[in-house]
This record gives sequence, structure tokens and C-alpha cells, in this order.
Amino acid sequence: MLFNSYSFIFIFLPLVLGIFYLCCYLKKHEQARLTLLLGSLFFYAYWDIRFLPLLCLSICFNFILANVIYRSEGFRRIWLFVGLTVNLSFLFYCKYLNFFISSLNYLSLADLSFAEIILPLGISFFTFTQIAYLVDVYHKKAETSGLISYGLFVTIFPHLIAGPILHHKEMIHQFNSPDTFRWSSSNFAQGWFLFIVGLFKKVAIADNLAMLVSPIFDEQMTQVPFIQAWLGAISYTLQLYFDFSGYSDMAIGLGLLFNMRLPINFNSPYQATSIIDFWRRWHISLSNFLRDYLYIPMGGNRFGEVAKLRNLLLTMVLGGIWHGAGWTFVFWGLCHGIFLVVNHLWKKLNIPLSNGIARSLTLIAVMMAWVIFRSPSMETAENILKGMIGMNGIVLPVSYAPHLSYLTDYGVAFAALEYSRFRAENMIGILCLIAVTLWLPNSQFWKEKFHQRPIVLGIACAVVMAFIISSLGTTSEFLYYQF
Amino acid sequence: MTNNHNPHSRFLLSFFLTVCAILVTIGSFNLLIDPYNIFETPTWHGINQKKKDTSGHFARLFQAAEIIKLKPQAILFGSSRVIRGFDPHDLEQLIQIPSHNGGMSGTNFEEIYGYFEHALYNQPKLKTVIIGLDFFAFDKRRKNSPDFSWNRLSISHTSHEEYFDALFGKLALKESLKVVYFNLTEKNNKWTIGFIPGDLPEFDEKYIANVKKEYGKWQVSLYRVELFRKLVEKCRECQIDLKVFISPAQTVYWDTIREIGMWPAFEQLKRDLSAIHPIWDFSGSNCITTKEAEKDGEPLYYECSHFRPYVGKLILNKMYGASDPYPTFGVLLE
Repeated sequence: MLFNSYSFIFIFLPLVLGIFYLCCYLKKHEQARLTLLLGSLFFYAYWDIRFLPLLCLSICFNFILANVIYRSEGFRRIWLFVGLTVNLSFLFYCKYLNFFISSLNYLSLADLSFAEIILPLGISFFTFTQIAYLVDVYHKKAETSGLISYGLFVTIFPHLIAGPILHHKEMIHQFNSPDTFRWSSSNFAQGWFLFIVGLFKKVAIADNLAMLVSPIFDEQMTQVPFIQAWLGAISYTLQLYFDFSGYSDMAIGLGLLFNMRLPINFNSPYQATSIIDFWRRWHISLSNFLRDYLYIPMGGNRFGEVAKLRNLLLTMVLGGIWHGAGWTFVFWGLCHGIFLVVNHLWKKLNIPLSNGIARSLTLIAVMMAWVIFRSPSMETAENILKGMIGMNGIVLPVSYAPHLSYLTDYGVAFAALEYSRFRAENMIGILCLIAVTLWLPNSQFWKEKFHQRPIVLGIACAVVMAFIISSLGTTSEFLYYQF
Repeated sequence: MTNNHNPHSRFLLSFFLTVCAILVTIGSFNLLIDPYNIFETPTWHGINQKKKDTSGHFARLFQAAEIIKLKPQAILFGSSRVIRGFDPHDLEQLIQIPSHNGGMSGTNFEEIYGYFEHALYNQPKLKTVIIGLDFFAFDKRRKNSPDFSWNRLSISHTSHEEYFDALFGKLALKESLKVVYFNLTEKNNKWTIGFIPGDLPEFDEKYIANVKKEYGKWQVSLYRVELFRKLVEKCRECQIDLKVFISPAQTVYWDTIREIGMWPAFEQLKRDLSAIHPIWDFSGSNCITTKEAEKDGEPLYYECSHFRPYVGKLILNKMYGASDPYPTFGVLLE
């Protein structure tokens, strides 16, 4: 079920909210928790009921294993090893086996046929959430809890499909806190506000940008010219941000409707002044996960500068693979690994950079990496990146030729741009969105502004909500659902 | 439970009251007009009796719902040529079976196949299927229409997502307003769902320019040819009488295809398809495409591409052997 669907907004959400608060009103906290758990499982099964047993099996297995590790004295390491092996094997089989086979075939090391596997939705999110939990139980940083609380921690519907990746420390106590089961108009209002902001980002912005992005990346143009390549890259940079941060806003907002605080996942990432800063602002819960469960266990910065840079590089490559089974993701991760290494080395030089230059360089680097991330193949990525550095020439629409023909002296060509859907109004829209992402505060800031003019804000949000509802028929899935 | 002095409560109150007011207003209007014909709201002459856009943006939604509702035993599939050119009553008179015009503007064969399966799912006793084929229906580059969705096919009910969209969607609202305007201004009483008679603007020049652009990069979709084979097999299996034809158009249309060098590809496609199932070919040069028959008094076309129901009736009569006033019109390719 999509957050941006009629079924979710008109049926699922009111029903779960109604039963949850009825249980709260009757002081039936266990039933309220159970409502949320069953609701979350239904939410997951609505996509494809075949995946539900897999999810339940994964939860039960990890719940039992966590208890075994917690109570075990002598075999803790072995049990942890078993847990990691089973979880990672399951993930590898579902998500990476065909990629592995295609790579072997490509390198002519084998001639294997592909396995027919349907990728369970959100598998990366729920697998890594549980791996982190097992590791923390092993290190005695986490307590075990009841099955309902644990099941909720893994499945609670606002985060289940596309994060934020939850940490048990942030969540388990909330499932048992009496505050969770009390009505809070503050949480409810802030929750709705964030939910509407997120919906608006997705439906009104990201989905419209998708129509501009798709032709550049998906139509397999032989050469993407300079302007089109940049417009495609900028549009995708904005689309991904508004899509994913829209999802995260909705997830946090939905959590607040149930008095639960999910971790913030975005903090104006395109305002970052370095790549290090970018990763503290973009998909924060994943960055924290990679730091705590990959980078630090690999040695972090404990074994000298070279080892630190190597660990950073490896962590980012693995982070790339986490996003998907494909070489574009590997190279995207590698790019960010290299950027981070360069960033750390640059810091050693102690050469000051103005804020504007630092932000621009960071944004350009991020944008170029997004081109690789979005491209269906490395050939397409190479084509667009070549276009961005001017190797495919500059081409303007043929209708501009009568007015700008003198530009041909400077190497500008005029041609029918079959796959370019950019119009003047799109350009203005993109400029506005760039300004919003670069200079305006984010939704977390605005959600604290209810004290000023609550009625006007309420009516404005209602109008936006009505507009969004009227547009739901043409919306699409969130980009991060595929990961 | 709420404190009116609390800004959060005031926000919530104003938010919910406003959103409910807007949605109830839009929803009631759309429910009343029922622009896609899916609520079966009573019809009022001059207000919502004739639903306008059965061929435009919502044709696929409209047709999916109509097939569920009507469960026709005989159905015509094809593009706007079928929509404009075939009165289902003509077919009903010929074969004495309740018939439906399932045409959808600019449809490709993947969509036709989807709606064929949908029709069969909802009417297992489907007896007759007539398909008007177009060259573009097999073009690899012609994607499915944005309003086409496999999710609404081969099911026996309209999904609740569709119902909500028909109630609150902005396109539904726009369509409701159009329906009211259409009913207030349209005087043509001969109107049935799927079949839209009435004059089309004469825009031959633009149309021909579009044909050149459209067919210039035509590439056969083997997947869709395979779907055609699948459809034929399914019809044989279910003992459905399948008639397939290639629509007539004025000679200028065919000359344009020749001019851009796509005639051999068109001929090859006809050979490929007729090797799978016999096809009536009404294209090329004959007394209808040259408009020679117009001297008998009946206008034949709206413009160079879309023929009138009179020609549609001639096609049906020819395929069913009912009458044949123009022997050069239509050849059976086997």
C-alpha cells in the first residue's frame, strides 16, 4: 500500500487510528500495540501476500535468536555468526543472486541461467534493522523485549518499506511508554502537517519532475547534449530529494499520529558544505547504520590514516551495493567513497574554501554521482556525464534557430530534441525548487511554527491536502521502494 | 478531548473542517454527474445523460468499467477509427447478440489484448470479437497510454481506488464539468458508449504531417505480434468468432505511408498477421478509399483517416457476407 493512495488515506489510516485510539481510551495498551502490529502486517501484505510469511519468518527467527544470544554464556559469538549468516544469505539470495550470476556470465566464468526470484519489498530495510539489533544484543547494548514490541520495531508501517532505518534504542521504549497511548493534539497536528508536506513533495513535485527525468535517462539517446544532460541531472537530483525526503516526512508524520518519534532522515542535504557534511544530512539513518555496523567494526579510524581511508572507501562501496544489485550502484558507492577520501585529504591541507564554493563543489559532485545512480546502465551514465562536460556538444531546439542562428558560429547546433520535455515553465519551476533546497529551512523547522496563525495554517493545509487527494490517481511509487 | 485555546487543536479543527467541506463538495458533484459511468447514478436529460470523453483520456478506465457492467457477448476493439466508425446497433442487427464498441483512441495491440482478456473474464460466453487493426498498433515505439493499467483488467469489479478517483480526482471533476457542458450543448441524440458519431474537424494537412512523424520510425513489435497469435489461439480455444480487419482510410493516407518508405513494412506486417489468422484488408486503393463511392450520396469520411458509420456498416456486411454493393472494397488475406 502506498502512502499516496486513496486506500491508505481513506480506509487504512482512519481505521488503524480509530482502533488504536479507542484502545487507548479504554486503557487497553496491549491491544493498541497489537492493532499497530496487525495493521503493519496488513500494510505489508497488501502489496503481495506471498511476502508476508517471509517477513514473519524473519521476525520470528531473529526474535528467538536475539533471546538465545542474550541468555547464552558460552556460544554467543557462534549464535551471532549463525544470525548474520542466515540474514545475509537470505538477502543475498533474494536481492543479489541474479546480479552475481550475470556478473559471472559477463566475465565468461560461467554460463548460468537466472533464478526466478521476486524481490520482497523492503527486504534491505528489515534485514539490516534486525542485523543491527542482533549485533547490539551480542554487545549487550540492547535488551530483549516481547514479541509484539519486537515485531512493531521491525514492521511499524510508517518505516517498513523505505525507512528510516530504526534503531531499537530509539523505538522499543516508545512501544512501552504510557505517553504513547495518550492523546496529544500537538503530536497529532504536527503529524498531519508533516504528512501533508511529504505528500505535497511527492505528488506535486517529485512526480512532475519524473516526467522530465525519464526521457533523458530511459530513452537510450545516442548522445545527450550539454544542456539536456545538465537539465536531466538537476531534475533527478531534485526528484530524488523531494521523493525520498517526502517519504521520510510522511513516515515521521505518521509516527507522530501514533505518538511515536521516528528519527529524522534528512536535514537539508543540498546545503552541505562538504561530502562529509552531505552524509550527515542525507539518509541519516543509513549513514548512522553504515558507520556503526560497517565502518567501525572494520576498524574505523583506529589503525591509522590509510586504514581509515580504505575503510571509508569500502563502507561506501558496500553502501552502494545496499541500494541495489547493479554495477551503477557499485560505481555510485565507489564515487562517494572517493569523494570522502578526497574530502578527508583536503581537510589535512587546511586550505580554506568560501562557503559558496564549498557548497557548489559538493552539490556538483553529488549531482554527477546521482547520474550514475539513476542510469539504467553504465553506458547511459557515461553518455550523460560526457554530455555534462560538453563532449556531446550544445544543441538547442530547432524552433530557436531563427532567433539564435548566430550561435552556430560558437558551435551550437539546432535540432529537433525528440526526448526533451523541458519548457520555459519547467525551467522556472526547477529554479524555484533549487532555491527552496539551497536556502529555505526544511519541514522539521516549519512543523514547529503552529503557534503562529494555526487557523490560517490549518485552512492552507486543507486546501493543499484536497489538491493532493485530487491528484492521487496519477501518482507513482516512491523511488526508494526498490531498495 | 480538544482545547479550543490550544493552537494545535485549532489547527486540527480548521484543517479537518475545511478538507471535509472541499471533499464533500467535489465528491457530491462527481457522484451526481458520474462522468465515467461507474456509480450508476440516475441520469437526467440535459445534465448527465451523455458521457462525453469515452474516447479521450479516460477511455481505458471507461471501457474497463463498461465491460464489467455490460458483459457484452460481442465486442469491437480498435482505435478511434472503430470508435467513430461502428455503431454497435449495426452489429447487433447482423448477429442478434448484445454488442459493445470497445474502441480506445490510439490504442496499441497490447492494450487490445488486455481488454480482450478483460471481456472474456467478465463474459465467459463471449461469442464474437471484431478487431480493427492499425499500423501503429504494432509500433514498438507506441507505448501504452498513461490511463492504461493492467490492474483494472481481468477483474469483475471496479477497484475502490478507481471509485475514489472518480469521486475526488481532479480529472474526474474536470470531466464532470465537461459532461454538464456537453449535455447542455450537444443536440445529437444518437449516442452510445464507446461509439461517438458527429463531425470531426477537417485537418488533413496536420493529420498527414503527424502520420509522417508517427510512422517515420515505425518498428514492428514482435511481442505484440505474439500477443495477436495468443489472442487468436484463445478465441479458437473458447470458440469465439474472431473477425479481424484493416481499416480503410483515404488514399492520401496510404500514399503518405508509401512516400515515407514504410509501405513494404506495412505489407510485411499484413503477411505476418494473416499467416496467423485471416484478415479482411480494406486498406490500399478501392472505391471507398478513393471516395469514388461517395457519388452514391452517402458521405464516407470525417477526414482522411476516420470513416463514418456508413462505411463501418459496409465493413460489417462484407465480413458477414450480408451484402456487397462494392465488390472491390475489402479483400480477405489468408
